[in-house]
Amino acid sequence: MRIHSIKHLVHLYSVFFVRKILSFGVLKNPIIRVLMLISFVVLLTFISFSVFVFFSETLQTQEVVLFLLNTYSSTIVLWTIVVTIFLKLVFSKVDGFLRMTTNFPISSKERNFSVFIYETLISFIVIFLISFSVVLSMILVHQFAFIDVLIVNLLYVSTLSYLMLQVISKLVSFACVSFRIPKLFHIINLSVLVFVFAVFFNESQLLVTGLANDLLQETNETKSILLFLQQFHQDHGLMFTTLVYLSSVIGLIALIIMIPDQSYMASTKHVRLLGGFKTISIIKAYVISAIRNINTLNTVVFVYLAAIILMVFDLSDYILYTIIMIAFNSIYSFTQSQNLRHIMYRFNYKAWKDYLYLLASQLFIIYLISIPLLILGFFVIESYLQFIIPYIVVTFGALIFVMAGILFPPYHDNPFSVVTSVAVVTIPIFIIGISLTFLNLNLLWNVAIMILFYFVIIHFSIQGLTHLKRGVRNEKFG
Amino acid sequence: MKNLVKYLNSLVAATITTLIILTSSFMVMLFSSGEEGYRTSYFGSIFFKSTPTPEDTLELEFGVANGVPIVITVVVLSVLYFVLLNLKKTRTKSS
Repeated sequence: MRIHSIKHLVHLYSVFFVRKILSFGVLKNPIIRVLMLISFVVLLTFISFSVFVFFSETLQTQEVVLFLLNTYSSTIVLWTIVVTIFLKLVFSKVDGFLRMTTNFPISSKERNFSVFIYETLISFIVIFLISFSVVLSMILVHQFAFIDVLIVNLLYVSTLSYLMLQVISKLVSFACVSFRIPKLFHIINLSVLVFVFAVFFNESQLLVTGLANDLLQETNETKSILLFLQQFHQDHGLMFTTLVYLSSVIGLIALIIMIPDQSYMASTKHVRLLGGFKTISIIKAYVISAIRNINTLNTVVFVYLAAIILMVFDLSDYILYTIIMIAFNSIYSFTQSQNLRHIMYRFNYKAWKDYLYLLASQLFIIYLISIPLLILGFFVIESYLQFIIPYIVVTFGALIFVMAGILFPPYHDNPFSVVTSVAVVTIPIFIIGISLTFLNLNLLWNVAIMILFYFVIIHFSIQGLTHLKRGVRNEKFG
Repeated sequence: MKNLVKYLNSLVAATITTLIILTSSFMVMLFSSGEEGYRTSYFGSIFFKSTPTPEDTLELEFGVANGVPIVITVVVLSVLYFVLLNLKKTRTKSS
């Protein structure tokens, strides 16, 4: 493996990221960029302030600080797994994007390692943002008194968890290639990651209870794999823990490099399902264009596997939440139906009709996929809220993700568009949520603002489709 | 129709900007003084009230005290964004 090839590839992705994503679509407008930046700063300040207020009132004794940091450390492990699953889900569709590298004189190992570097970078940015408020508040309240605990609980734990998950993914990839089932890699890999998440979710629930009991009874009896590094740090100090951490990191990175990896090399993008229609309508064409896509099928299988895993771990109440992953897949609906749109451009193309077809097809697929889980849910779900909430989330989620896919089309399944669009769409949603909390308006006003918000989403989506049509036809904007 | 789209876009941008301003001024108000009692911010439009309870805790209340400054901000910003969008269009055309 040559370092300079990886360096050039990473540079290529960065150039692509800056030119094709950060200067594309709505982000081309400087007002939007400034607004996004201000929103982001306000959001970060708000979260940091809330955490600071909470910490300054509660974190008075060393026992409480350690209890909180140990509990938070288990949360960080869970967040690391969630971020890794999200990135694996996004990067599982990366083959089209990586096609631009096929003519380069590089090996697939170099290519995959460069993708790994980018995945790692994005993961660490997200984890940094998640833990930023806690670290800042802790430093403001106690200065650098607990800096060693912070380093071990946040930095070391998240890095090691992330690298271990990557090693697991590499092993799954190697096993899939060895057993000649490379096409099943993404499904198996994501299922294994969900399995790991379920194990650690159960473990963290037990851990929090144990730590709370320890705090109340002034004992130190809780033992957990999630606290391995913390206990090691308590017994042997920071220096020795750092040595163990560094050697583990080197060992894990060496394993990641050494294990042969053939992922991101899929050749087929579609499977011919649901053939033999006597009549075909536009809406059918939209549904089929999404359902025949190999990535949608992977997500469907993954949804069912995730539901089974949740049931195995006695978390049956949440099985309907797995359909959120299908709602997330709506982000690809625009690019999946791009060929149909190019045909429609030649005739009487209407952006609002296109939008209706997009949304209706996505909702149809989501509801269709959810039927087996819904039937199963009647037997295993206890609270009626666990039926209602997932359906509300996926219905409105589909609206948001279809818009994200239109505003930042992930052409060639490029993962950076998806990550950016999710970030760009989430920040205003958080800002609106926080502002509504402060304003403390009555129910009627809140409902009115939410309706306005969804109206705006629909309006932006249709406007986006109109702009894209003009772009394709080389028409003037404005 | 084109103007309607511009009005809508300006209104959306103005609403989000107003929400950002309100959230920022709310946080500045919280940071500015540690005293208990009734405090208002952004021309008296949002308030924050903390009263100590007999159980030695604080009861917090916050919300909108006067909606007029908020509405005025949304209107002024909408007009400003609309003018900016029109200026941008004129500049693009002349270049």
